[in-house]
Amino acid sequence: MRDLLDDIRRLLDASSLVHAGTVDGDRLALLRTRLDEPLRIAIAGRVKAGKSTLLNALVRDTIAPTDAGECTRLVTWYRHGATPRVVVHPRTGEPRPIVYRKDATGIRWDLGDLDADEVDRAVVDWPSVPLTSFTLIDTPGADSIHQEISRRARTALAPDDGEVGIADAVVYVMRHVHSSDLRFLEAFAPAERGWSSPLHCVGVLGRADEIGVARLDAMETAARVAERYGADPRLRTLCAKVVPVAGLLAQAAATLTEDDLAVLRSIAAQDRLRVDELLLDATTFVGEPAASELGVGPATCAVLLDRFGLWGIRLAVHWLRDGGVASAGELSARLDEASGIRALQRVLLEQLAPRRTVLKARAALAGLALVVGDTSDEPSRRIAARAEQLIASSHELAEASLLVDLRTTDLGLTEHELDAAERLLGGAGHDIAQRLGVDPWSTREVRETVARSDVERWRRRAESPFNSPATTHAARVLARAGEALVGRSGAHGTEGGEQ
Amino acid sequence: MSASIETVRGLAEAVIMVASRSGRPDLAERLTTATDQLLSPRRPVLVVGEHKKGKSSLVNALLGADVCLVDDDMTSVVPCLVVHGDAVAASVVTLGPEGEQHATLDLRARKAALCYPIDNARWIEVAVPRRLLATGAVLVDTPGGGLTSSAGSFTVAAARTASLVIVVTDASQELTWAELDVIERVRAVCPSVLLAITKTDLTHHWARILELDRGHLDLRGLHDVAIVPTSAVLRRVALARDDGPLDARSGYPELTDRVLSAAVAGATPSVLLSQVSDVLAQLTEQHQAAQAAANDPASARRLGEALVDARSRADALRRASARWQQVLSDGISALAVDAEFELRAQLRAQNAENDATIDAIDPAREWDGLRAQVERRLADELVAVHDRLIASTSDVARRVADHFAAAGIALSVPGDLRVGPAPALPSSATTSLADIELVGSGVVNGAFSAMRGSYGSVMMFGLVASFAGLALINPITIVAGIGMGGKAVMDDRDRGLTQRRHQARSACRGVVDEAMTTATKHLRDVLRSVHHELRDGFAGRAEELQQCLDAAVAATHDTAKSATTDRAATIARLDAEAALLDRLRTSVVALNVGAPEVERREATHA
Repeated sequence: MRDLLDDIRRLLDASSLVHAGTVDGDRLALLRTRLDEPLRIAIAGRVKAGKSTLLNALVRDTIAPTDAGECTRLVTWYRHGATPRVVVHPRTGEPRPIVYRKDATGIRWDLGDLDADEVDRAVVDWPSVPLTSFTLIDTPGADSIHQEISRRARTALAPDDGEVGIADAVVYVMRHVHSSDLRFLEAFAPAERGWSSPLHCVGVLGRADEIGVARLDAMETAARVAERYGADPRLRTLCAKVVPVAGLLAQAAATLTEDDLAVLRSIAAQDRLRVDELLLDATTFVGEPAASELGVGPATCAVLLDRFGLWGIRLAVHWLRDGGVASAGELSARLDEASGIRALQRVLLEQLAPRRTVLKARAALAGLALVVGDTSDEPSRRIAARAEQLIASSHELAEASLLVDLRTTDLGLTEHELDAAERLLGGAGHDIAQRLGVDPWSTREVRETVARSDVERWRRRAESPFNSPATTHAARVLARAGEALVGRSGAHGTEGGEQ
Repeated sequence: MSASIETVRGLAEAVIMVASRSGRPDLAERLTTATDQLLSPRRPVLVVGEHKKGKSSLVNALLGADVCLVDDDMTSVVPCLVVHGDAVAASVVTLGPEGEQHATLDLRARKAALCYPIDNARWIEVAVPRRLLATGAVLVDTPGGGLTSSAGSFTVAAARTASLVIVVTDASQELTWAELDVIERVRAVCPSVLLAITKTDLTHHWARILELDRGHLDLRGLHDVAIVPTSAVLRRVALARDDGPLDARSGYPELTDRVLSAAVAGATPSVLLSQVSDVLAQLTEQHQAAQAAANDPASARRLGEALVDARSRADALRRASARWQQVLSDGISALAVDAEFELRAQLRAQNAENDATIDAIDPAREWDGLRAQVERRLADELVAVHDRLIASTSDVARRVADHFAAAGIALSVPGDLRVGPAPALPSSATTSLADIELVGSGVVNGAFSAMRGSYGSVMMFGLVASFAGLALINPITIVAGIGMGGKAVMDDRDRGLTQRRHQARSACRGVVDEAMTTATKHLRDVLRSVHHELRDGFAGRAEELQQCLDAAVAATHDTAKSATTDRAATIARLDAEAALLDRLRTSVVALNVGAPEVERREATHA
């Protein structure tokens, strides 16, 4: 099979030759670089949904500053770089490096004489292993009291002027689904470009602990809420799934220190009823009497509360006392698991990362269409025609479009067929076993048989005389997807399969 | 405010005593009722905010009882009204062909009813025995529908009748643009609005958030919107332990005080004051007749004749066939026809506009925006119809009052029979009738509260539920995949578009029709009850007038007949009573006049 990205690279190089030295040439050069960069994932959502906290949790370090009030005001890129630095890109003029400082609350800088409105983005290069696979983009909240701040996020992700948004994929953080969340997501998914969300958007129920008002079982409630949202027909057309994450807890787990453990231990050593009393509300906990009772300063309590939240402290104390947790490592692992961040990481790695080719290709093709679309000179026309041909012949793009159509369009398929189709296209994971819906330890013969029966089934479905053209097209794409799996099922056969 | 409630109440009590002494229990009763109404206004306290901010928890914590549904996930979709009752009881209120109907609910079934409304359910009413509510305050927990949708319009409409609007936000974040916008709109129509910050137990940064919110409010000039930080968790623990200081920290005692004072402040004593002055005028009339007869027995006979004549005319007003009855019912039917016509015209225009909008867009893609827009416009329109109705009903009532006044002139007692100092207040029955202050006189009071009252606006809330319940187009986004070119698909897409537009048009028409039916019914119901209230009110006044004249005739008669020896005593007694009435009248005038003067002084000062 020919590599789609290779084709696109060639196409972009060819157009660069045509447009060399012009503004369009620069745009094409940017598209070309973007094609080989790590996947860009934007973290978007309403004000105070917990975007920066989630970013820190994903990076497993405190780099994005967070605060009780509205904090993120600039579109900020965090990408892997051997040398730490912060570069601010003004709307007009040269990018300039800027002085920053990093402390326990994140990387902060002063824009100096630059007006925030003049700044297109800030780019933070930071040495970080998680950032090698994804570039993360922190965005200001939608629905901010300062509407110009909200506009910055919107123009970066879904520009009005038809430009291609900066992100390849989106993690949308919400607290409870709100009509403005849906509006924002819809704005990000301009349907006419075939640009749609279930493919590249994952919903996160951020601050999940607060949904269950910081009770010990808060996460279970959040999971239930997330499941309901995940099944919501409107939300399903906008994002692949909804994952509950207690971002603050995940961040705390990633940055847990022995000092934290010591304070938590001293709380756990107190009388049970007394602890309940101290943790009744945040203000009591950071007050002077409580701190002296625990033998630490009020500042220590406040820092602990800021980093763990009331729920995190309750949970940690509960485990230290009754859960047999002894070391900082164990506690960190338990908190990490409880926060739900691992589930999100799995979704990013198993669902977004395997789609890298398709997502990058779509961004590049959309950008290319913008450059060559309006011009009518002969080379541009030929490039446009070539791009068109590429789109029409690429099975990967067809699969991606179909995955979206399954949720957004009436294809005339039954509920059961829709589930099977989504699974086959990798909606539940890109592993062959997941796509075929078989046991991961199943033998090669089993896989092949299942794949062949899938192909047979969709071929027959394509021939049904009652089909609308859309149904026939969908069934054909699915049959081809099955064929590809028949070919691959042997190649990655497990040991069990070879014996 | 011109007069404190206490002053007006004291005045009313004095007048009630005089009235009962003068053999006018009817007037005494009227004032008693008015006083009661003043002290227990059934005006709602609205609790509004984005969903999941803790509105229901706030209501529960305020009352110290699990009244409203609180769930981590579910939100209520119909309003919950909490009223005072001797025992805990809940009922679901539906609107059917027979009007408002209450069906008793099992307390456990309440949750289901709030989340999955049965057909036509407009609101859930829960009665609890609580002192806070005994004053007549009604707490309304509004459904969490988001502030930006049509629910926002209804919130603002309902806020106009509220004595207090509590906007709920939480301590986890500062106000958003949508919240601030609603506060601003609500503040424009309701004088007392307060912002409650809930969940302060979850973060020790709540003071920061409070400060930020204060800043946002001040920036928009909303300096008089108070902010109360609250914690339902602390409140619950405090109540369980009977822990005063903890309770104070929960913020709820302050909130309770504010609800109470808003309920009282919302009651305007001017209504009672005008009632007092009206009753006073009638009593004065009666006493002046008696005094005149006592001072001058010779003219007593003439006076008696004049009074008897007046009485027969008053009697004519009282009869069912009286002309004013005709004026009233003609006026109301004209009103009904006009209002309905106007509503129809407006909704038809809206239909045409909707069609035009739909033809310009793909409904599949923009359906939600369209739906919100349609709902919002409908909400605005219904509120406007309601306002116009109130205005034109006032006109009808004024016409009837004019009619009374016209009859009243014929009733006027000859001026030369007056004795004593010229009264400071226009004293004849005539002028007091002509001066019927529409809302103030008690005649129309009931009628208007029927329209303006909490229930009318809450019912409008209910309309939202009926829009939401309509089965509408599947909000599916039609995406032609980039891999699917070709004419066949395009054609299919076009056909689909035509069909979707058709669907959207009929769905919009359905919503508008539904609103039309409901609104027409609402109009008729309101007008019917207004008609009854006005008729009974005016009939009552005619009856009173009759009694007043009866008493005057009797008084002249008695005085004239009484022995010469008694005369001096009678005159002395009547003089004393007249002096008392005079004093009362002067204080009423002072209170009435005081207000504008004070305002003027303040205005020039500023």
